[in-house]
Formats: sequence, structure tokens, C-alpha cells
Amino acid sequence: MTKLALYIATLVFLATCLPSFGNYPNSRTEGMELVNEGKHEAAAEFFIRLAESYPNPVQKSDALTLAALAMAKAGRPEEAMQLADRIPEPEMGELCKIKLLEESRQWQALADRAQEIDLKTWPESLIFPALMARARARTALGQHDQAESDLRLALEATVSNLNQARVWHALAQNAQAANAGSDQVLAAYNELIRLTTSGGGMMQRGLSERALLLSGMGRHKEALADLAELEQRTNNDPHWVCTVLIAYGDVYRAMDDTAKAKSSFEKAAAVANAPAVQVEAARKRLAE
Amino acid sequence: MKIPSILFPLILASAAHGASTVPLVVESKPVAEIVMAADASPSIKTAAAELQKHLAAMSGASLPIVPSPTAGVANQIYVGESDGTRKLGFSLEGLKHDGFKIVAADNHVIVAGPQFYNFAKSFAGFYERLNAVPRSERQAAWEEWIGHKWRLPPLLDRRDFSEEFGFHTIDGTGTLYGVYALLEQLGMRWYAPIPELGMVIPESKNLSVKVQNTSEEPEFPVRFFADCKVGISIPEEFLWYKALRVGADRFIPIYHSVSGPTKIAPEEQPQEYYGRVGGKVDYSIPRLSNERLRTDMVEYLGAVDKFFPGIGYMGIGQPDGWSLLDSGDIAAGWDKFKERGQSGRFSDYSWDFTMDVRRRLMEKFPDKKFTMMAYAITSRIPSNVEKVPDNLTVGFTQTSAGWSQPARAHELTNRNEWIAAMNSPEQLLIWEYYLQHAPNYNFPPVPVIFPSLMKQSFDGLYDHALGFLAEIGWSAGKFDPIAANMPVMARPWISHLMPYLHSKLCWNRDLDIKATMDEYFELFYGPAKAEMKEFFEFAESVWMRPEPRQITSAGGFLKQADVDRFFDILGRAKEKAGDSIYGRRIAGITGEMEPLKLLFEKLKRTGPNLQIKTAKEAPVIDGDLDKPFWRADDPEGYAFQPLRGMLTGEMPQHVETKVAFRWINDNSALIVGIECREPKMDRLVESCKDPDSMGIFADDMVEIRLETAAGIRPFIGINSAGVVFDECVTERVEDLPDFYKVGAVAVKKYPDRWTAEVRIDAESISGGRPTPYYPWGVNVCRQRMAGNTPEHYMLSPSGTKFKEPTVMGNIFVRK
Repeated sequence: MTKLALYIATLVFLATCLPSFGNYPNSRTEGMELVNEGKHEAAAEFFIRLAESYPNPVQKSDALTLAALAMAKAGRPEEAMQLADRIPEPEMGELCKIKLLEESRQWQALADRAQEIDLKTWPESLIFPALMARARARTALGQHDQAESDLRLALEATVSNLNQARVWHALAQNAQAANAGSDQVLAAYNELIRLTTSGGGMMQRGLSERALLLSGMGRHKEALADLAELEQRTNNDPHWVCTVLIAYGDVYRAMDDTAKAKSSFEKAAAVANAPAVQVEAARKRLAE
Repeated sequence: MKIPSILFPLILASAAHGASTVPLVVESKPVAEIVMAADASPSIKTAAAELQKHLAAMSGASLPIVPSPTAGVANQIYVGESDGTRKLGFSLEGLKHDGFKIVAADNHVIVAGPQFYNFAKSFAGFYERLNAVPRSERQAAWEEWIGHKWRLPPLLDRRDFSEEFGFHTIDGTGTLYGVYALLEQLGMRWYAPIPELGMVIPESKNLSVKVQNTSEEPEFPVRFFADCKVGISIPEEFLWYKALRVGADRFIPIYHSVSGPTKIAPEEQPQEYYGRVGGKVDYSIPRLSNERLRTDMVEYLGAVDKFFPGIGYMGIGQPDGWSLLDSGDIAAGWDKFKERGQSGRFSDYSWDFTMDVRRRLMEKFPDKKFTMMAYAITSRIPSNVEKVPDNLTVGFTQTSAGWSQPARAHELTNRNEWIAAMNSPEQLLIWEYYLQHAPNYNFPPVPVIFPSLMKQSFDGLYDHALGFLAEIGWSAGKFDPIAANMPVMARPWISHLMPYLHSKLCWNRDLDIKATMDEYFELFYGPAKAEMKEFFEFAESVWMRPEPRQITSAGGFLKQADVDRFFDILGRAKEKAGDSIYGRRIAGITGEMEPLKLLFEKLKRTGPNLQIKTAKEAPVIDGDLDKPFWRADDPEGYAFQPLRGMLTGEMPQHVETKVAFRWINDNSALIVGIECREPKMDRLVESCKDPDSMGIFADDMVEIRLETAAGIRPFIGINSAGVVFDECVTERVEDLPDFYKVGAVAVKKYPDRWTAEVRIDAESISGGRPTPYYPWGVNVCRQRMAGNTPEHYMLSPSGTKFKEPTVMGNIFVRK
């Protein structure tokens, strides 16, 4: 092949073949499908190649973050951390490491690393997830006041109703872990449910957990009302159908209505395609 | 590569008439020698070597190069001045700039002109010192030398200096131009900087020079193609520019010198250098009204002058990419957008700075001349200038290739305003952009052919300008011209013709462009000359269309049918030319254009398809997105689509932006509602107060980008204060973008969000009802400036920028 022919062939090749990754957002979506399918090794490799294909530091950082998280889920934490070290955007690199520590439940290390989240200079898109991770670590470490403080900051760091609902959920759990009064926990759940009027998984989780809380407070009628509401929103999803039946059983049991409790647990254990862990929970209650 | 001698009967004829010619080669035997002074300077040595090489290529005879005439050799060609030329009474006296003379009489030929080694005079010493420092430490070394953390001035790219030949393309090399002119007389042509194929080399066993006493002077003393990086390219490319007689009799610095003190580590510089917007320092804004910046500019330019000696000018140039003004300077009335438009917006402001810095410099450097830039937002002459001072040269930037578009027509008007205020050609230098094929422009490989516009531009400059600094697209990145044996010039097969014509016009105001092009078709494409003439004439007709340069699936200057026709013509041309040298040239063009075949496939919109709701009648546009118009049949807001991160496509967790559309059933309008959830409403940046001002692009804002099925592209930008920037790209020449006005816009603010509601009237944008078969392209974007860092969101994220048309989604109504 002459040099001219080679040159022309190269031009054609560059124009038609080289961009194996087109638009970054679309390629990212493709990679996320691998994650969602549980193909973490393949996802990690995909995102590493993606990072190599895009010089933009934000995109490179994003791809390396996703690669690191996939690598961690694939059970290769050291390689995951090495990928995080290659992230060019410093704050994105920090957040990635925080997420890796969260993934591996290294709460003390996470709390130590996340000391320096600068609310004034960090890109705000990173502040909310960083605060949430730090709060989770502090809750796990029993540092409930600091966790609550983080969560209050997280509330201010997002305008998203859904994310605010997530914060209220974390506040409720932190308060429960701190053995705070039931009223405080209930107030957090009330906020969660107020913010999720259009439904969704967070609302359903809030309803089921508030129902159990109310039941524990002796407010069984309100608990049953929450579960009735939840029942209408299950969309026949086996997970939620099972969840609501177990919750009914727990509330009836707290009301000393053993027959209804047993019936609920039996129905829960018989839900087709329900997650095994829930079926097991229902059976365990029946055995008690 | 040689071409048959049958094409050059004139050459043979002249060789046959001994009395009127000086023979150089007879029957492939040399009958002359090349005489060059023993101490000849680099460009003269190159001239002699080029002459020797090309005569040999044409005839097979190698003429020796000697320092003085050899007894017994019939004829001499003197290259450059020497004792021999002086004995013959030859002189360059009276010759202007870097022109040249060719004298042929009796038994000798003299080719000579003056040399201006601008690089050696002002740059070589500095670069010798700088090159001793490791590349990564050069900026730091410069800072140490001048005692400030100021930028190393990008005056002249040293990569246009050739180590092999010993001079720079900015150097005026009269003798070398003369040698190429002589070779042109013998039939050679340098059409493209491509080895083997770019030159036309006629074949002849007999070569002689007709008796003559010719002198040529350039129309402009400055004819430079800037930043081509040809000193590190293949020699054929470096010498191609010289064959086009590129060079200058002086170096004139036109550069962004204000960036000298302000660009490097701005956070460490005095913060008063920079403007503020919405209370925040913005490092892209030079505060030209600031005393400290003016004082430091004088010191900076003094330092530059010390390190680059012998430059007769000091360049005072605004920063590149400057588009905003400090809030205080706006309050002081310096933003002249309303009175002078975008191209004169900051002219007065910049002029005030330039004149003051010039005055201060004149006190220290009374013999210097000065340059300034008329560029982008300072393109128009300032409002208060009747005459430009004699010691000031204006570097006027233009893209004459774009003058067929209505939006660029003002460039010629602006240029003429300046010329009317000038006393001499010494006061104007044109910075011309031939950059369409530069890789970072990502422009499709369409031949950019515009000889009539080029002629129009030149005709307005003869006797009015010093000349040109022109930029040509070059291949960037990892491209290695030596390894590829191809030039740095990007897409040289489709790009070479316009620089060739440009250079010809720099030397001849009476150039017959048609005849020059006809000769090009004949000599370069041989049997396919008719087809290639058709090709280039068609290319010019396509390029001259007034439609926007941005090509989309439905609009822009290039159509799918044009692509088919380009390749049809090239196919016919190739068939005529076969596998000859002409055929290989046509194959070169075809190869570069090959990606065009996929262009329209790639231009298909890749964003989401959105079926939008209809409404019976348009609402009152008040910014309220909670009213029944939006919520009656959609209480949960499911029709509101979220925007995601522009670069990554990730859904943000801290803010939310949603958009919904309604088509009015009588086909009168599209209504768009955008909700921007915002945790920091008190920090919204909304500095832009004027409609249609580019200042809006620094604000918290949303953009609506549409493309109707007819290819009409309205663009509506709205900041959080409700100020609107609206324009529309249409197919009609008379519809300048400024003429479009969106139907109605309202913005409403809440404690945790701001909303924009927009009515886009269909008739004014030829917007028929969007259907699944004829959808409208759409993207909606949000720029958030209220946060710690700028954030960008899009309905259909591009990964690059807001205005990428291929990522648009489609909107349509089902019935």
C-alpha cells in the first residue's frame, strides 16, 4: 500500500470507525445496563475503556468512578481503590473513595476520609451524596448527633423531594438507633411521606416502617391505615405484596389478634416470586 | 512527477530561439552553472538548491553550484547578490519590501531579492536561551527572568522555523521567491504541499530563460500564514509556503497581550485585574479600566520588548474569548451593546485602555509603533474615533469565507469603517481565518471554495493594508507529518487551492482568477480538467449559499443531494484520469471527502422521542406552571421531563430541572414550561439586563433549541430575571437571526425554584404541526451559576455542549 493510499485509508478509518464510543452520556447508559444486569467485571472493563476514550476530566472522572464501583462490586476492592486514585478531578476522586468505603462498610475509615467535605468549594452535585455517606457511617459508629447534623446539611443541599425523603428516612433510622423518642422518629417518617405524594419505593418503605412504629406506639388503627394505603400501591410487585402482608401480621400480633397475624404470615410466605429472604421472614414469624 | 512535454510548446519554442533566451540545458546536458556567493545566507542557499533540484527534475541535468563563474561554462545563473552580480552592474536599489528581480541577458541570468530575517533578528536569541530549559519548566523560567508570574508571550510560533533550511516562514526571502518565479516561467507549479503529487513538473530536455529584466514586488509587505507548524513538517510543505512567496519584510505582533499579566494563575494575581459578575470574580473578564492592570501592561510590554529585540511594534491585544464586562464598568456605561451591537459592544472600552497604555508606552518608547486588535466584540471602530493615530496598526480579524452568510456581512462594513479613519496602509493588518477544516472545528470535509469572496476582500485592501496574518487549519494531536509523509495542513487535498489563490492575490492585484483556475484545472487534473472545473465550481456554489454552516438532518448549507453530486463528479473525473498522476490527485480529494457519505446518516437526531400533549388554547403566559393549563390532566406532573447532566447524563441529586410541552390544537403555537428547582435562590446570577445580549450566557439561564420539520431553528435563551435572547436561523437571506422574536415569555420566582413559560408562535418559524413523521427537533438546557461551580443540564445530554444538534430529541403529537 502506498503512503497516499494509507493516508486515505486512515482518514476513512478515523471518520467511520474510531469513535467506538459516541456520545458519552449514551455510552455511560450502555455501561450502566451491565451494572444493572449484575455483570460487574464487564462493567468495570467497559468503564475503564470509556475513561480512556474521553479526555474531558469530568467524563474521565465519572467513568473511573463507575469503573471503581463496579470493580468493588466484583469483589476486587484493591483494584477499585487504584482506579479511584486515577480520577483526575480531586473532589470526584474523594467521593469515589468515600463510596468505596461505604460499599465495604468501613465506617471509621469513611468518617475519617470524609472529614473535609468543603460545602463552599465542592461541586454541589457531590456534596449531597458525600454527606449522606458520612451520615450513614456516623450512624453506624454511634455518632448520632454528628450524623443528624450531616443529614440536616444534606436536607439543605438538595431540592429534590425524593432525595429529601431519603434524608428523612435516614434521620428516622438515626433517631431510632440513638433510642430517641418515638415522636421524633415519627416526625421524620411523616416528613418522608409528605414529600413522596406521588408514590414510589421510598413512600412505600416509609409507609411500612411508619406502620410498625405506630403499632409499637400502640396506635394500631393508624398503623393499619398506613398499611391499607401501602396495599393499594404495591402494583402486585411480589416484594411489596410480601412486605405489606408481613407488616399486617406484625401489627395484628401487636394487637394480640393471633388469627389474623397467622393468616397474614401464611399469605406472605405463599406470595409467588417473592424474595427468599422475605418468605423466610414470614415463615420464621409463623414458627414463633 | 513529470508531465509530458507536449503540454509546454512555449518552453520548447523559446529554447529554440537562442537570441531571445539564455539556455540552461540542452538535450539533458547542462550548459549553465548556478553561481551563489560563498557566504550566502540560509534562504539564498535554499534558493540555489531548489533551483538545482527542480531543473534536474525537469530536464535530467544537474547544474553545479559554484561561488564564482567557471571558465569554459557558457552561461551563469546568479542566485542572490554577489561580486559577480555587482560586476554586471546589477542592483536591488528601489525594490520595495521583499520583492525580487530576474534579469536575463547575453549569457547570464540573475535572480535576487532582499532577505529579511525577522526570526533571527528578534526571536532566535530568545529561543536559544529558552530551549536550554526543559519544556515543562519554560514558563517558570520566563517568570524568573521577568520577575513576575506573567505569561510567556505567544508572539510567533517557533515551529514555523525550519532547522533544516535555517529560516522561518515569516522571513522575507526575496531571492527564494525569485527562483520559484523563474521556475514558474519554466512551467513548474506548486499547487499543494503534498509530496510527489502537489507540484506540476514539466519534462523537457531543453531549458532556457527568456531574455528579460523583470521585477516583482508584493502588494503587501506582510503575507504570513501563522501557526502552521511547517518548520517541523515535511520539507515539501515548508517550501510550498515559500513557493507561494509567503513572508514579510517585518514582524508585526498581533496577540492577546492583556493575557500576559492576567492569564497565568489568576487566583495569585491582583484580583483587581478581573471583572466581577453578580459579586463574583470572573477570570475571563479583564478589567481594562483598572489602573493596576494598565500599569502592569506597560511593564509587561516593556519586558517583552527587552527579550525580543528589534521589533518595531508593541502589541496591545485583548484576551481571547473575552465576552463579558465587569458589573461596575457596565454601570459606568461602557457596555455599548444597545448603541453599537455585538461587534462594537466593547470597542470604546478597549480603545480607552489601548490609547492610555499606548500613551504611557510612548513616554518610554517614543520610536515604537503599536498594534491593537479589532476582534469579536471590538470589531467595529470605536464611536469616538475620527482618525486612527499614525503610529497605530489595527489587527482586524475577519472570516471572508463566511461573507455569503447574512450574519457575517457586517465584517466588510466594519472593516471599511476602520479604513475610512486611516491615513495609510501602515495602519491596517488583516487577521484572516481559513480554519474551516481545523480538526477542532469538527467540520465535515466539504471543499471550502470562495474565490469571488476572496477577490472582494482583496480588492478592498489594496493600498489600504499592510497585508495578512492568516490561519490555516492544521492537523493536531498525534499526527506525525514526517511518518505520514503528508503535510500538517488539515485535509490538504480539499484545502490547498484557496491559500494558493490568496498568495497569488498578495502579489498581483490584477490577477485573472478565472484564468488562474483554468490553468490549475488543466495542469493539475489533465484529462479530467472539465470534470474538476465542474467540481470546484459546484463546490463554490454550495459554499456560497446563505444558509447556516451548521448542517443538521433538516437544515444547513449542504444537502444530501450535494454529497451525491460531489461523488458523481469525482467518479466521472476519476474515470477520465484513470491511474495517472491526475487520477491519484482526484483519489486524494475523494479520500478526504469520503466521510461525507455517512454525514447525513450520522446527523439523525439521537435524543428521546417525546409525544407531547395538546391543549385547546394558549394560556396566559405568566410563568405559573401550577395552573390548570399544565396540571388539569397531569396532576402528578408526569409530562414534565427531567434534565440530566450535560457531560455525563447523570441525574443530579441536588437540583432538579423539568420541562413540559403543549401543542395548541389550532396549530398556532408550542408552549414550553420549564421548572428550575434551586436551593440557592438568593445567589442566582442574572447580570444581563438587555434583550438579545450575549451577556445572558454568563447567567443562570435556560435555553430552548428547536428545529422545525422545515429546518428552521429558533433559539430562545431566558435568564432567571426574565431577560430574553432569541434568534432564529432560517433559510432566507433576508431573515437575519436578530429579527426573530419569540411570542411571549414569563419568568416566575418561588422560594425554592424559578420557572419559565414560553409561547413559541408556529407561523413565524414555518412550524407545521409536529407529527411522528415530521417531528420537531428539541433540546432544553439549563445553566446553573448559583452554585459553587457552573453546572449544565440538558433534556438530551450531548456530552459536549448545548448546541449539538444531533443529540436533539423529537417532539410530536399523536393526532
